[in-house]
Amino acid sequence: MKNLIDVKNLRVSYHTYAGEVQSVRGVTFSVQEGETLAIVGESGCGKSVTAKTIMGLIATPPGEIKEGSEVVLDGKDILKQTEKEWEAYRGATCSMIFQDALTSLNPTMNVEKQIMENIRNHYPVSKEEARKETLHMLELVGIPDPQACMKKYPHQLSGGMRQRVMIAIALAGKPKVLIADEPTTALDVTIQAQIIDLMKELQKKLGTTIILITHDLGVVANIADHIVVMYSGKIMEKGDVRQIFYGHKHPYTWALLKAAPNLELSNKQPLISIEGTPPDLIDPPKGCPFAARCKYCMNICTTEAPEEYEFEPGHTAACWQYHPESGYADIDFSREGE
Amino acid sequence: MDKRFQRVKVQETNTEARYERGLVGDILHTLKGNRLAMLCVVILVIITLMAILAPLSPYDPDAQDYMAILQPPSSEHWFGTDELGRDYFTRALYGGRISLTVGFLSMLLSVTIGTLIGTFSGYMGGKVDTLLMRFTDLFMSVPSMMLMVVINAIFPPKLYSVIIILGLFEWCQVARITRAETLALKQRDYVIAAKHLGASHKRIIFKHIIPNMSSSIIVAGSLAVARAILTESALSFLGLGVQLPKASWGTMLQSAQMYMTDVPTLAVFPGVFIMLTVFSFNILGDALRVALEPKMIK
Amino acid sequence: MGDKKPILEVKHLKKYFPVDAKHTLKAVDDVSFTIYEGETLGIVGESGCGKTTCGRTCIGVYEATSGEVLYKGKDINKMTAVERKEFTKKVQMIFQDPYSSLDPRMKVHDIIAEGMQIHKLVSSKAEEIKAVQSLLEQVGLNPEHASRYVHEFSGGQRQRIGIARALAVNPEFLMCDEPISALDVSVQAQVVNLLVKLQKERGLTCMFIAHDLSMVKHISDRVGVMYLGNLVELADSDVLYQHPLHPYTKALLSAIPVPDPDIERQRNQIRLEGEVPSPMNPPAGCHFCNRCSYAMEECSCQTPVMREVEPGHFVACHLYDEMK
Repeated sequence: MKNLIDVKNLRVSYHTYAGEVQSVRGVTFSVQEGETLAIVGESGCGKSVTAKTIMGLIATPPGEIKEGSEVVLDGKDILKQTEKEWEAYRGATCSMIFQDALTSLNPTMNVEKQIMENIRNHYPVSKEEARKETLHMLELVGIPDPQACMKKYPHQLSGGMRQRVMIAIALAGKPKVLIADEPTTALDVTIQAQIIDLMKELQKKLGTTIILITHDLGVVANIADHIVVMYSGKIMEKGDVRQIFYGHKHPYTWALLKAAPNLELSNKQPLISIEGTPPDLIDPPKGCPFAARCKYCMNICTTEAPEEYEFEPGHTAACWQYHPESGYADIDFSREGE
Repeated sequence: MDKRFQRVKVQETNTEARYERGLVGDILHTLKGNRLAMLCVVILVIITLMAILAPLSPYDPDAQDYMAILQPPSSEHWFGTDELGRDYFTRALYGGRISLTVGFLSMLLSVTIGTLIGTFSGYMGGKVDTLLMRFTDLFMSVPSMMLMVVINAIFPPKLYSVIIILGLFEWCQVARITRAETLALKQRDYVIAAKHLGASHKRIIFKHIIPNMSSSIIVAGSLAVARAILTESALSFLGLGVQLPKASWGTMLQSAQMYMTDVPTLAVFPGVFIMLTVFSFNILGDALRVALEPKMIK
Repeated sequence: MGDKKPILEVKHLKKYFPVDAKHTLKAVDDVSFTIYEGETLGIVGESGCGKTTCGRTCIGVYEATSGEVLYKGKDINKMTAVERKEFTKKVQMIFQDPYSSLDPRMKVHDIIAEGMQIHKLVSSKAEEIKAVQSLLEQVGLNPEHASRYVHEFSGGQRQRIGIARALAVNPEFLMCDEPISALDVSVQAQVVNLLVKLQKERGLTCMFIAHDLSMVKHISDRVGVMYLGNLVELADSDVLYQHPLHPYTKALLSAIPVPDPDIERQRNQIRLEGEVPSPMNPPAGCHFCNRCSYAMEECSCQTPVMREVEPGHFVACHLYDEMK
């Protein structure tokens, strides 16, 4: 499989009244064509900012994409695009769906107009053809009565239907990449399951590459091929889904996986929690950002940012334990009792 | 073993203290970021200081000097003299005292009345709310200028009566703003929490609702001062405001009418003062509105 | 269960909100359950099922449309002012949104001390300061934080402040309304651990409302499942998760994604068709009948009643009618 997107040393800051918030601090990963890559992390870890950068949605100011950052898509550094190129790119090459469908849809336009607009922005088709395509898109995303739905306004649709409509709009321009930013967070579990099924099915049909931004490991386990685990603007660990779930190397990944309550676990046992809070990104720690909350923290973790160590092709973790001299390289999380 | 790889426990440092900022901090921050607003503050401070320090002027504002009437500005009389030979600069300073006092006090009055009525109305809701708001609407549709003219014509205007009248006609705006805010605030979880802790209505209104409206009230107050100064000037210009020999900027404008063509500076100086003050309060109000709007700082 | 003393009895509780002249939103429609002293009752359901309204009506934040809520045998909607004040001391709540539940213009100390001031639990300022500091320590915060404003704290820390405020009046009963759903996973675990610990230490009775079933199962002794204003199933949490009876509970359990790719990708999931109908216009009979794959004729005309199928396991579904 070839890499569709290569993100290299991406650094993004936001300038706020309190100072420069370094949201993304040197992130490198690639996305293969036709796969689903999940970027996982807690709020404020920089996962959404990374996605917005790929979509060209970072407003400057207050945002700033630092010198030396590169996002290469199909051999072209998209960060150097002109505003005109960005306009053609959004929707036709890369589309995005958001967490909150109600605020991301235009409340004054009906569904038909919103989808047709996206089609006609990118393809020179007649109104009739666009309408046909719109109907087709709505059928594709599993809307029961697409004819009736076309004439509806966003507020007349239920949460799940709105999300489906948003996916239809996003896919109407036939993009190569679909970025889904917490697409199911605002939905109930039963609806979430429907939407995830839909995304999987659409990927099979259309071959769209999906970048999924989420904090829900259950969703990731279901849909992702590769996973990038982020924490306070940096990548902690990346690898394929089995490597991350069954062979994770980073203490943060381990803690994140353990923090979710397990239905098999007996009741009221203390959950494994990560004490403390993520660091302040205005003045991020010199060393590993997770050091202060990590039970395996070593001297070096507080002073120097960890290097990335590769375990298997494509599976890397940024953690000093895997330094050849540390003596902890064979750490086994499954034996950790508490 | 290598020391670098020794296990340690790191003390977490809470770096969030930098966000510490109360209402005053919010306001100061806004001003720092907005040059025009800062300039307005400087202008207002200067004008206020000048008014307060007016007695330092070597001239008596009421001392008439028939040897030197209607003089143009000079090094001796910075703004020249008026038709009775009084130093116009000194009179402008004393006029500022009156205008600013009227502006501030009537603002205080209107903001107090408006906040109380608005908050009460919004908090009680239901029939009380409907009744009070219709009353406010009624009050707002009264041609207040006309009424003020009539009232002032019946009762000889004094400084305090002007303040009260202005205050009584300005509260409606404040009431509408605070009522809308109260309607939103009383749904907030912290108000529900306080209620469920057994807090009295009085406590909820004064401890939870009004403090959280303070930014809106400050903005409304800033705009109310501007309006009050303008209205007072207009009243004085019509001869119904503060009475001679005391003079506000409006009164000075009125007396300047007669000499408009010969000595235009007589109208220009108080006019510029009024303009600058009102302009500054308006800009300041707008800047604060923009800055204080997002109440929840995450 | 016989030796357990009921602390909160909810009988045929209904809470309707008038929307306009023609429509009423039936947020809670005839719900009955009992909470026993010292236990945690979890209520789960999807958004719009009325779980928050139910919780708030149970502790008197909203006035019930009909039905009664008995706290230790006394109807909370018929209390005198004095009883009412005493009730607010005994029953406290923890909110979902850590941002809107704390007054941004107040310092942490004042937020926590408010309840003590209202109920005159402390006699001097020094005592009050001591009490607040001890509470801050109990919820895992630094006592020095008392002089700060809440906007300096993260979501998890704010939730701890909210818990301290509730505990300040020494309550017996805690109504937790989605206390963790706005928090990050790692912080959720902190707050849940804290709640469990405090509950044990203080012998609190809890009602825990959430949409996250795995968390509810973890913290609760018994769990009730709500759908469109009705309680459809109520059982011990282990029983409910291992042997769910109501088709909706089964579907809901099946829809929870498991953070394990092997299990997640192989298991057979029950997929619910369609979405939750509007609570303004719920289907006749069993509210779930239009999405239920077991729906029978009588489901769409007759509302099922809650019956005890096994000891302590209640379900409202016509499928289990003949078992009685």
